[in-house]
Amino acid sequence: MANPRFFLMQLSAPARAAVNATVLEAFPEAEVVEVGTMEEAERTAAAAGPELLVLDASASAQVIEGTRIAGRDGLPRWPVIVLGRGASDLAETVPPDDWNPRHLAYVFRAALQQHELLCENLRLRGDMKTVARRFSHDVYTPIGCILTSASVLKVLPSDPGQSREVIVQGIAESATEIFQLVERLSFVLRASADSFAPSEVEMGEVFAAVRNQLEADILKVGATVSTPSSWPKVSGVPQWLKVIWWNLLGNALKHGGPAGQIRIAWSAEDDGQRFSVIDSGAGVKPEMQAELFRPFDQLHRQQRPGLGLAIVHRLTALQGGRCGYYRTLEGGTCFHFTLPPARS
Amino acid sequence: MNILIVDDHPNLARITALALRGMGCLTFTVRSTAAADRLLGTEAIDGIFLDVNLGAESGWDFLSTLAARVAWPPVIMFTAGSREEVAAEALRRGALGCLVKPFNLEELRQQIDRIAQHRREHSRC
Repeated sequence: MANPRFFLMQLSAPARAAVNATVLEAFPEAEVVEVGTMEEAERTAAAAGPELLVLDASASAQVIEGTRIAGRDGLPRWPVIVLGRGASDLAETVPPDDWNPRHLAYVFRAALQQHELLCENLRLRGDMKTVARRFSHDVYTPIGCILTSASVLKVLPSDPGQSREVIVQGIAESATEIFQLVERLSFVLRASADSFAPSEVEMGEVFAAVRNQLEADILKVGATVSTPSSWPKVSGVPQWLKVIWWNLLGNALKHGGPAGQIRIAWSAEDDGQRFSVIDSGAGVKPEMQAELFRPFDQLHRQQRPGLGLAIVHRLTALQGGRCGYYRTLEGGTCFHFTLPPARS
Repeated sequence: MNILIVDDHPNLARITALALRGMGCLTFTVRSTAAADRLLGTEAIDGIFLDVNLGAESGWDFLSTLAARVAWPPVIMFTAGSREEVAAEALRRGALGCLVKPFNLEELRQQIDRIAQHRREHSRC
């Protein structure tokens, strides 16, 4: 388990001392943050590892509030532990008699593990809802189109002019639509369910392969794609990285305007390498920006979102990275993702 | 009869239009409610086939907008959802009926007959 961060809130002196002794003994690398209010804890940027909120039993209102706070992935941000007397349905409560480092360490570890399982469960349920929603509309509609087309073809006069051609073309397009959607959904589900081992990947080679795949589209829109003179190695899964680049470069080609300038860049960051796709397009409306990288497991809550960026979000997160969007000073748009550096 | 099809899926809209033309209808196809509204202002529409799920838009919202007007053409809701649920909701909101995807020509014809009957009844008033 990665080093956790403990938020301590409104604890009595003995409770605080017990937690500090536990952290020192059982979680020596952990970070301890004392906060006065829930807002203060919520405002604190999420840690890379797991977080845990420890409250005094007298702060019953904050217990409820604390369990409702969501992290950046939309899932509950932390497990809540209550120190003191009284029972809570929402959080594990540890009475003063049990405030010894051995027992508290056990409770903290169990809470973190339970929280991880809860989040995994919520993610899986969200994935199922997203897939169900996609099937109930996005697959069902083109299937319906094929079936209705067949029904029309049966009764179409023998000399239908161009009608038969139009219908057959519609069937072919609908079948392609179903194929692509099923392919993308199954890819995300397989990636999320399978265990994987990241390897050292030459990012330049991955990008070159994707660029070759999209060459016809690049020529079609007359875009110019500039790339860095050198590329770093990253820790990741080559096939997933290809899908990330395919989506981001594909979006830039689609929305970057005719004869657009697309710049591919990378930079070293504190926590890894950031890769960017910068285009000269009109960008995303401010009211839509918050929805851009909605996690895949929460797509079912949106009316009809695109799948591409949710796939980018999921694949990046699975590789220990993150992704985002901003409007550049020059007026273009930048979609980026950050990955951990290659392990030497 | 002049029939307006409001569906964001181009192939389904196209095949529906083709089938309706085979039944003697004149069809207009749009992908958004704004385009539908514009067309209602310029054409004498006898009936609307309206998709429940129109991308970022809701066919239900557009139905409510139409139902708030003094005069509006009868609406058949298109849906990929459950027939029972959508049929009840469609009637509650003032639609003439609903057509569940996938549909065959006979089902489409039944809805056209309902629109024609509605037209006859209202032209008598």
